[in-house]
Amino acid sequence: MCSLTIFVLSGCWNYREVDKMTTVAGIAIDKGEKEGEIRLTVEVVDGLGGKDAMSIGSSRISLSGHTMFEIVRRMITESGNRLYWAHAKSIILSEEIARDGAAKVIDWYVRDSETRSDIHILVSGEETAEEVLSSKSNSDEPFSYKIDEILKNENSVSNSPVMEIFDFADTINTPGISSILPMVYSSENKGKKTASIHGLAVFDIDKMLGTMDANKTKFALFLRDEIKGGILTLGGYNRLPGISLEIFKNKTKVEPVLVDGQIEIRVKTHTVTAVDEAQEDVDYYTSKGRAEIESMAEEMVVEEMEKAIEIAQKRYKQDIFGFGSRIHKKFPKEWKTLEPDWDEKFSRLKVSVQAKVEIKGTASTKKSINTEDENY
Amino acid sequence: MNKENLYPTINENIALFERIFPGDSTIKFRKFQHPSVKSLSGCLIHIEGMVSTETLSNYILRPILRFHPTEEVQDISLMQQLMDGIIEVSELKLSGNMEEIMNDLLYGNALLLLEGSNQALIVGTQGWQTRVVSEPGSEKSVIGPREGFTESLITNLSLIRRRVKSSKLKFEFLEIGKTTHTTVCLCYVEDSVSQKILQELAKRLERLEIDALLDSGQLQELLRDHTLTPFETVGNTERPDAVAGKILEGRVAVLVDGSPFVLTVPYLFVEYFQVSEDYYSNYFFGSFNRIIRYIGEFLAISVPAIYVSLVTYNQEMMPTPLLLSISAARQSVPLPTVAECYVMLIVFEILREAGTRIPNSIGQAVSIVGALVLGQAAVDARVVSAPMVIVIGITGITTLLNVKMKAASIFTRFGLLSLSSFMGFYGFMFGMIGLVVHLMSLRSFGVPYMLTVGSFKESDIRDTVIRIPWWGVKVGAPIAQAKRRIRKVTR
Repeated sequence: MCSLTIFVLSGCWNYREVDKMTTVAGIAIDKGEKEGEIRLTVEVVDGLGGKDAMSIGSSRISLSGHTMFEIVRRMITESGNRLYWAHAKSIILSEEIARDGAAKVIDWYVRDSETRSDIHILVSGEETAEEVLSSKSNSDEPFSYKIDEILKNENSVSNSPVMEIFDFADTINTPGISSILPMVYSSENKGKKTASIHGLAVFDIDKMLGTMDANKTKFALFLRDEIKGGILTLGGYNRLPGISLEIFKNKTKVEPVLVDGQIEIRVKTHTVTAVDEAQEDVDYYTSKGRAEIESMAEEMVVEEMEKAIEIAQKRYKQDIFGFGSRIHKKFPKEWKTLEPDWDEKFSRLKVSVQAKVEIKGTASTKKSINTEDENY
Repeated sequence: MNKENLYPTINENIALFERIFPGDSTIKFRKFQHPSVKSLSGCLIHIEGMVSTETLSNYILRPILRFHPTEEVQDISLMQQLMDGIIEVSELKLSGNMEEIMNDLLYGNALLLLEGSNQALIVGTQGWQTRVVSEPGSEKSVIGPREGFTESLITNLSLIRRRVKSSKLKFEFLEIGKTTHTTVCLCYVEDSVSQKILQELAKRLERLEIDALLDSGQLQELLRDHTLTPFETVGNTERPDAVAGKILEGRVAVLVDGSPFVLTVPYLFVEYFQVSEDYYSNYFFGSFNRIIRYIGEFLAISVPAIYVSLVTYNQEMMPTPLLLSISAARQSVPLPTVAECYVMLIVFEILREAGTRIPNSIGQAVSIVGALVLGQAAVDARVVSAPMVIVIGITGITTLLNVKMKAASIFTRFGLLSLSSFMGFYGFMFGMIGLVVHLMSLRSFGVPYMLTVGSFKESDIRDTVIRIPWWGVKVGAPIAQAKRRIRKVTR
């Protein structure tokens, strides 16, 4: 009896040899040439088993069809093996597909049992998604794995959001927060094609509306409380004060308050940083000087956050910061009246922003390299 | 054969023994006649090679033949006079019981028969060649005593007694084997031992019906509680210090004449992982080594199963780079992973068995064939994949970490592997659960095999997973506290 249940109840009984399957590294989804078709490009890993060099390359398979699953199954006729999805790292949607509604095409991926829902999802900044995936990088590493690496280290840059497909599917279904996805571009650096991920795409439910650039994205992330690192730049080369602040820690508090029956949002950020670069001889080593730099940084952060809010409110009318869900939590009653027309209400929401930047240290040197001292 | 009794005349007796041992030239008869005392004539019977000829000639024959009766004492028999004052051997016994006489003769004692007496004087002359006490081959240690048991029961008993100099140390002798009459000795410390276990052991030994007992390994199998398990519920060791430790903890040791392996009961699962050296080296190091042994055992039984599960069923559980490199390494390997794994495991077992049986002089050939031909060349020729060689290598090494568990490891490993090859990780987990259930159900002389495993009480783990330092052990409390625990469950 017991031994019978082992066989009956076991879920994963698929026997497949690791060398007899085609491992998918990444997926690009475009519109097909014919109307009503989608074009799926998968990047598959070529395990070139050699004795010494176990080099790993990649190749691409493209097919058009009406539904995702139909294409996926038809791909067996091209690859010879069934595709293996569990190690795929990124899905790239073309802008066209995203503007048309992303939910249609990712439904299969979220639903199917052979796929994993912790795959990264991005929007192509180039004309097609295939183009990005096809930009053959110099290293043998599959391109999609490179994207995965970039996104893993994204939190020390904070130039784009990091979204996994289940996050995305989740925010589509959640009222009070609009979805965003990172943008991926195919860039050329010294003759080498590579991926570049920066900026974000703003979605209305599952339809893409437009993009935000990398700098705005950073402050949008501030408002979403998703900053884990990155740099705050004050001034620049030959522009005072020429200081880079490395963000160690950031905490953003979004607090909805009721003022005269109207809901307002108060945002407070607290950022812990360190001076990691000082090009000009600015006084950052006395507490007074530091306070000055701190207030400069605070001003900058507030200003930039306000700009980001303005874009979201005026241009897209999309609550990409999740203010709605905060209101939902704190004022459930009021939220009921706001919810049906939230996009419109959001665009008229009053948001006040406060920032606190704290300089904890000055990295490993105390003063900047003093050019004047040498003259004496 | 022993229906006949001794006759009063020498010639008849010699004829009797010649009838019992027809044509056996190792039975030696030495007739003698005292030069002056006419009535003192007889025969000395012994078996060549079993006796010390020095004792025979210097302390028995010479005193008898040089015996000068200063005054005629007629009222004491000649035999009595010999016993009282002439023969210079400490072990003497007068017997008319033919069975007893035969046993002693066969066990290396000499018989002294006198003309006119139908009794034999049994003289302790045992003296055969034995192996000297040397380092135990199967349980070497870097520090700690280097002595190991030998094939001689008496030597072995002396090795134990030298370690436990107490009148509480008791020996009980019995004879097992209808043909071999092998001496078996139970050894225990009187006030530590659990009487219940002792009685149970005595009962089981009594019940034994066996013709020949040649080694303690036979007893090990005959005494166990469960017959259908690869796990041993009777322990064996070649180290006197280990036996001394175990009997002090309340266990009973069973020594078999002719075997350098001493059995100890009850035997618990944790004892597989306790090595004498743990107790003699730094306690951090001892505990560390012990944990290494546990990890090693886990690896020994599960590495092939885990590998097969990962590669053929649950690829999503591997990190991507590992998947890719295994996938690359497996390109154009002819056998499916499961078959490859079975084949390589069996090849390894063949190598192991060959290495054990092979004479030392050609032992190197095995390692060359094993390492070069089956390892390197097979990978180069793409007959097997490189990861599989690594898997087999880890399995092989870790199996040898707990040599005593070898049999159990091999069977468990194949069991888990076959479950994994049908059901992947699910099967592996199922097998592991089954293994734990099986171990939990075992008993050794009524004591649960997994006693206190799973307990986190300080007193229960002090000598299982780790070894607590000696300064943490109270005087009078043996470190394992097995006595207390075993008593508790057998009460």
